[in-house]
Parts: sequence; structure tokens; C-alpha cells
Amino acid sequence: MADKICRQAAEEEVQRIIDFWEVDPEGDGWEASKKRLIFAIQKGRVNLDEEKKCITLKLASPIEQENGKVIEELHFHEPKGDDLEVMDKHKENELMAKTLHLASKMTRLPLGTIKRMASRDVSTMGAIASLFF
Amino acid sequence: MTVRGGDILQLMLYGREFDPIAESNVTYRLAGRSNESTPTGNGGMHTVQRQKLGGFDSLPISVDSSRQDVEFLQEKADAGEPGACSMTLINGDVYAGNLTIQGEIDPNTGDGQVEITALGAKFEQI
Repeated sequence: MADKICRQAAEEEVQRIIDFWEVDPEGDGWEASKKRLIFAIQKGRVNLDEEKKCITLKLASPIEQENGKVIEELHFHEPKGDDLEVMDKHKENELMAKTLHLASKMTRLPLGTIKRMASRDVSTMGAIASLFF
Repeated sequence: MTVRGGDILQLMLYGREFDPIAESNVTYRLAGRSNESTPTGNGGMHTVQRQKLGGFDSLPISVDSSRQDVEFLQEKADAGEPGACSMTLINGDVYAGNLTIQGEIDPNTGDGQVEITALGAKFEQI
């Protein structure tokens, strides 16, 4: 799939997201996440919705629900304190479980639904979540 | 699928996550219709069908008073409006719908739990 946005514009969008949420992500983990975010933005799948105060992820592989409905986009809202508390409910090495659980809180979707995401989208979702922890 | 029952992995009521008690055996139902059949005198069957709401009965949750769990739920009950509720079961199945809290919300000091019943026009596997 051809890029919809050039790399420079994608990097600027990442900075815009950081500035909007007033976060300061850092470390080796962040560099990998940043790369993933830039890639997803270039594909036109991630954008900041300032009005709704959320980050929208257009799924590379939409989630088909049992009731026939299809989820094509996820909207990530800034996590609150008790959303971040879920990190304490998992063991230190359960990074994926923490990420999925936090994504459930940020999107306000059930954990069972989040767990149906394809791996490409899980990677992008992890990059979005890493902005906040 | 080999796992048929077990704990509720995640419970969300009105968009907030609550802590379901482990090893609880919660009754839930889909919205739809229920039948009551009786025999007729001549050996046939007389069936009355009624609409039924979906949701769950007496689901025990752990009360976190620092988050004002009970106050939050009472506020939602006072409003009387349905809200997004979902249950993720241990096998990954998700049941969800817009439900309204029913009856009393009476927490217990001894075990720190409160039982919640919530019903709605639709409660289905998603």
C-alpha cells in the first residue's frame, strides 16, 4: 500500500500528538514505538482528533464481531489515573497483557474485542499506548 | 473451544471497569422472548410468548470505596438511563449491551462486595 503521507509530515504529526498530550516519551522502547507510529501515519491509519481529544487508529484488519458488526476504527482517549492502575494488576513481564488491558480502557471497548485485533494493529496500538506509560 | 465456564475476565459498567469477584457463578441472559406453555384439554399445547430483557443477575463485584464505586453506580441508577455494559468471559467471549441497573445497590462491609443486576433491551455476544 503506497504511503499517503510523506515521512516528514508523519514525523511532524507525531510531534503534534506529543505536544497535544503534553507527554514526554523516552527510552529505547519509545524509539521503536515512534517508528511504528510514523509508519502507521504514513499509511494514513493514525491521526490526532483534537476536537474529540483522541487518537484515531484506522484498523488495517477490521474486527468482525459475533453480532455481525464490524469495527473499522478505534479511538484512543487519554487514560485516567484508574485506567493506568491496570498496569499494577499484571506481572512485570506481562507487557502484552498490560498493553491490551490499557488499550481496552483507552478505547472503552471490552478486552475480548481488543484481543481480536490483528498483529499489525496490535503493534500500532502498543505504540499509541506507549505515549502514556 | 474447550473452556466452557469460569471467571469473568473483565466487567465494564457505564464505561468504567469494575472488579468481578473470582469464582462467582453469574446468571446472564440474552434479550428475546420467553415461552410459557400449558396443555390444552384436548392434548395440544397453549403457548404464551413474552418479550424478555437481556442482562445479568446479582453479579458480585469488589467495592473500591476510594474510587466511589457504589456512588458511581447509584448515580447511574438514579439517572435511570441505560449505559454501555460488557462482560468478557474467561474464554474471550464478550457479551455487551446498553443496560439499566435494577433494584437496590447494597454493599456489604464484611466481604466488601456488592451485587449488581442490570437489564436492557439488547444483551448479546459481540
